[in-house]
Formats: sequence, structure tokens, C-alpha cells
Amino acid sequence: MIDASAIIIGCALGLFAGLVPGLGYFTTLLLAFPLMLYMSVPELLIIYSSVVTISIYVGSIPATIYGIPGDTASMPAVYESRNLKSEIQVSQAISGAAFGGFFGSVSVAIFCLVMVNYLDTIKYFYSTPLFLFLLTMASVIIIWTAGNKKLTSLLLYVSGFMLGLVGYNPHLDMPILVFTDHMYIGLPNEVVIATLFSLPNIIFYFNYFKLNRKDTSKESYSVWSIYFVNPLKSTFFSVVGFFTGMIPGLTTILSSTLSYNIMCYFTKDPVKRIVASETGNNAGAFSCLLPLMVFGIPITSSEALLLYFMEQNGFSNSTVDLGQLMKHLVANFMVVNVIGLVLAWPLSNCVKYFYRIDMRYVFSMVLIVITVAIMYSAWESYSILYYLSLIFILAPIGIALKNLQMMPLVFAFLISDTMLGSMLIFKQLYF
Amino acid sequence: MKKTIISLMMILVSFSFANAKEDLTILNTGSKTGGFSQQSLAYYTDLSRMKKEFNIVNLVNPGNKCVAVNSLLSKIKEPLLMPWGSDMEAKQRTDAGCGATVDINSAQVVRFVEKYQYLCQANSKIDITKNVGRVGVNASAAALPKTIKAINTSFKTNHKKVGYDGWGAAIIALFNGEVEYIIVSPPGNAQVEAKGGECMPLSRSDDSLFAKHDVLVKNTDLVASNIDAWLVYNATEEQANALAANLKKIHYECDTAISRWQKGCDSKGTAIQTSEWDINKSHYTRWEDSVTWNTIK
Repeated sequence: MIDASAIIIGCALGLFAGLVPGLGYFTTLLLAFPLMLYMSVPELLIIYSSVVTISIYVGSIPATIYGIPGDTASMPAVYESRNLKSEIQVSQAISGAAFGGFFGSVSVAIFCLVMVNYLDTIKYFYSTPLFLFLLTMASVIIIWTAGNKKLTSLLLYVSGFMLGLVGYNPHLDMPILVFTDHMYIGLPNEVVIATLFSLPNIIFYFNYFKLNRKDTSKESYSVWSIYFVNPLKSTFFSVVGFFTGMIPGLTTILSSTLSYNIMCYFTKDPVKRIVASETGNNAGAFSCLLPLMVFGIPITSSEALLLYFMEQNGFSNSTVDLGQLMKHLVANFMVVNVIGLVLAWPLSNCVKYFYRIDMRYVFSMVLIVITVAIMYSAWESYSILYYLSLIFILAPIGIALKNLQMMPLVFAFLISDTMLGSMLIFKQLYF
Repeated sequence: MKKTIISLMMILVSFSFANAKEDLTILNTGSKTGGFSQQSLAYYTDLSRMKKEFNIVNLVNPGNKCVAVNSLLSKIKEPLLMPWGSDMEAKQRTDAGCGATVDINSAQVVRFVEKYQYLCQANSKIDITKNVGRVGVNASAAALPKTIKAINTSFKTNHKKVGYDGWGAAIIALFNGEVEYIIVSPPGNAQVEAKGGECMPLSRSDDSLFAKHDVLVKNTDLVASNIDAWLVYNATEEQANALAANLKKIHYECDTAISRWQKGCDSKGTAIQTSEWDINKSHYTRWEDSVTWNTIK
């Protein structure tokens, strides 16, 4: 029942994906291409869920300690970590996020197992009005709770939305703000996130660590008091993560961002905000697989690659025994989550050691890794000059805006295509 | 001694250059989640394993036809294999989109697949010739609005087109009741039927919607026609022929990635062929007919 080899491969790839900024699941899976061709369908699902889950567990650690984004979905942790005042709070945030993530993952997996005969009903969730409502609500909440002035957040959101529309738009069947051939692809996610989110955060943290040290005073705290005393909240964010994780193209990015911003409305405690975000994030990491398993339909490019590997090994959603497959996946997923928890939780006790490392080396290394990852992507798409031009245009803007909470901009950039598509379908359906 | 070593090295270098095989690039011109992407991955898998005529097989997957054709096609100098659809070509002849036009006459066609769309419904009690409803389609498929127009003209109905982001989204919309009908291309019809829906072909069959109702439509045979052509650029005739032979071989074997992807073998292990390999003038005529039919006016 427990597939140790798939778990080990998945966890190793997840560790890699979580620690290398900008790598993403698609590239991670491509790196293991030859290996994946010889895996069975359950093994492939275990590997994929392990990659996503472990990268979330691991990615939240550098995000919380240094403000370095490993995975795009850890953006809320990256931003909120600047509000953690002491080492003990950083430690609390790491352990709380690990426990929160564990709770989110396990509760969603058990829910799916119990409801396996009714999973077909998720088709009703794929309703355009509901999608549009969810995305609009998420946008309003993010603008409202971002921490900037409301008008500033709104302007950032609109700017992000416009940036997201650049390129050839298949919904409108027209190019928008395309000045060169390369621009048909639009602004690459990795460049926009690196220049307008990661870079400003890295500069902010570099200055912060030059001037301040995290408070090292001992406070009495208990991770139980942060998290498990309020099962209602943890269940709520698991539900948010479960549903938003199934939204095509956005999945865990929306799960973590929406959970975080809802929590921002209720509390100013950065630890609780990070915990909420990671709970939603991990819950979405499992539910994003449901459309693929139930309907055979991938909702992200990495899932399309997974489906290819699965079909190579005989997967057909019309003949698969979903109950059996789900049982097998959930059992292994539990083990993966225990590994994630064991990896992440003890590190909360090592925060003081992380802060002893010379920050110049840490941030230089991160900038090099991000640059290499972006340039690899540029080289692969024959667009080195285009990527370089974008970096030179967007990086100064990102640096100039380093004191603002840039999440409304990045969020709007990421959802713009899905949002516009939903609006057009809504119009065709009802007008 | 020094001169000898240098001479030896020069000979080795010249020899290795003389025997160097070229690389092959597979350029996906479709989306990252669609059929072209999956077939490109399958070819990448199979041809990488073969490595007979080509040194390294690269896969470039921009997920966008505009970038693939307008930006990358001219930059790739080594032999290149890419898919192109008659509906994609049609769409670019209307001044819409990004003008990503490919003239297949100037390429070497190594594989030709003609396919027809299916009309599917989840509720067996409704009839598209009588019960007006919403028809879900893949928004990026150029032919489909014209197919809906043909249905509306033939049966004097007023069905409404709803364009989804891919076949998958349209299939889910059918089953959750957001639309009453969808038009899908194979193997989407099999997916719908497996979930309890019903599908009928839209052309070239006695069971087709138009044949069944004895409705004469202009170019009935071409309703919902779509052709996929696999093209080779930057290659000599010998290289293209060798590549075509390799592709044909992997399509005829059951244990290859492309066969597994298209479920192209029956229970006895015989390859079921839907592709045409010996390309002649008639294929170009059929291509032009399909493009003309698909061109939206």
C-alpha cells in the first residue's frame, strides 16, 4: 500500500522545487522525464502530490525566515514575514505553518476519501457565475486587506490586471500591447514575479537585516495555542483551500492568497496570517488533483504533463477504479505529509542559526539562482533579449515600489486571464 | 610531436564534424494542455529513444501558436517538426488574431490527419433540431462558430455559442448543466460517452446530424472538418523522408508513446490507423477545402 520509492522520488523533487525560486512544478517534472515514463499511474499521482506538498512545506521556511519565495503560492508568507518581530515569532510561524499545512492536507485528503463516491458532484463547482463570484470576492478582499492605502491597492490591482493582459489573448482573439513578436506570449510569470515581487522583497529584507536584528528575547509560546485551539478556523481555511485549489490555472496560488487575505481582515497577528495561508495552500495541493482524477481534465500545465505520463501508463478516467486509486493515494499522501511535517517543524527550533548566516551571501545566492532560473527559461524559449529587456524595465519599478505590498498587483496579474475568460463566458451565457 | 598531436586532433575534429548528426526540434504550436502538446511530448519520447537520424531531439513548447510561428519558427535553424491545423490556418486568414500563417505547400508534410467533430449532449430527451439551447465549444477552435451557424441555418434554430477555455472545460459545462450541447473533437466524444452522454458525428457518416435529418448543407462533407498536418522545415528531402518513415513506424507499433496516447491499438494488438502517410496533391486540395470551409465570414 505504501509506495516508498514514489514517496522518496516525489519528496526529493519537492524539496528541489520548494527551495529553488522560480523552478515550478512543470520544469521539475520535466527534469524527471525519463524516470516518469516508467512509473505506474498510482506512483505518478503519489510523486506529483509529493512534489506539490513538500515544496509547500519546504518553500514556506525560506519565505518566513528570509522573505525568499520558493514557490509562487508562498507569496503571502514572503510578504507577511516582514511583520514578524522576533525570532520566537518566526519560529512560531514556521511550526504553525507546518501544523496548519498538515491539518489542511490531511483533512482534505480524508474528506475526499470519505466522499469518493460523490466526487463527481464537483462538476457543479465548475459553474462560470460561481467562478466569477469567487474571483471577484478574492480581488475585493485582497484590495481591502493588502495593507496599502485602498486607492494604492486598487491602482496596483488594475496595473497587474493590465500587465496580465499583455500578449495574444485567445478569448478576445487579438493581441494586446504587442510591440514585438516575442510579446505574443505576454509577460512571463517568472519575470514579473521576480522583478515586481521577489526583488523588492529581497531588497527590503537586505536593508532590514542591515539595520535590525530579530528580537531574540524568549517568550513562552505554544504552537497548540496558535493553531489547534481553534478547529473552526483551521477547518474554514481548509475549506477555502479545497475549493480554490480546483480553480484552473490558479490552484494553490489562489488558495494561499485568499486564505491569507481573509485572515488579514480578522487579525494583525502575522503568525496567524501565515498559518492561515499555509493551511489553505496545503489543502489546495490535494484538491487540485480532483478534476484530473475524476474527469481526466488537467487544470494546470504541470497536470497536463502528469496526464501525459499517466496515459502512457494506461490511465483512462472512464475505466479507472477511483475508489481504489483514492485509497492508495490518500494512504501515501498521509506519509508524505508526515515527512513534510518532520522536515519543517524541527527547523522552527533552528531559526537563530539561520540568522547567524551572513545575509549578503544568502541574498546574493538567491538573486543568482533566480537569475539563472529566468535565463534558462529565456534560453529555452529563444527569447533571451526579450527577457533581459523586461528585467531592465520592470526591476527599477519593483525597486521603487519596495515599500508597498505588491500582492494586489501580482495576484491581478496571475488571475487576469482566468477572470477575463470567465467574464466572456458569463456574457455569452446570460446576455 | 606537437605537430602530430595537433594534426591528430584536427583529424578527429573533422571526422566528428563530418559524421555529426543534426538535432531535431519539435515545436508545439498548440496550447500547453491540448492534443498537440500531448502528441509533441509523445513524439519527443519516441524519437529520443530512436535517435537514428538525429543527434538530440529538443522539445519547444511555448503554448501559444502566435509565438511558435511568428517568433520561433524563423529562429530555429535545425530540422523542425511541428503540427498545424486547418482551422488555425483559417483563423489567420480573416485578419483576426496574430496573423500566424503557415503555408503548408512550402513545408514537407509528413503526416496528415482528417477528423470530424461530434455533437454531444448529456440529456437524451432534447433534440438539437428542435430544442434551442447553448452550445459549448472550445473557444480557440475557429471552425465551430461556423458549424453552429450551419446547424442554425439547416434546422432554423437559434442556438447560442459559448466558448470555453479548452475541450475539458466545455465537457464539464455539459455535465453540470451550464450548456445543453457541446461540440468536441475525438477523443472528447469518447470521454462524454463514458460519462453517460450521447454523441453523434457531424459529417461524413450516415449517422451524422445532417445525413440523419436529410438536410442539405453547402459542402455537407466539410461541416466541422478539421485537418491536422505535421510539417517538417529546414530538412533535406532525405531527412524528411526518414523522419516520415520513423513516424509511420512508431504509429504502427503498439508499444510506443504515440500509440499509447492515441489508444491506437485494438485488443489483438493491431495498430488502428487514422493518419495518412503517403502525401500527394489530393491532400493539399483537401487542406485548402477545409481551410476555406473553416474560414469565418
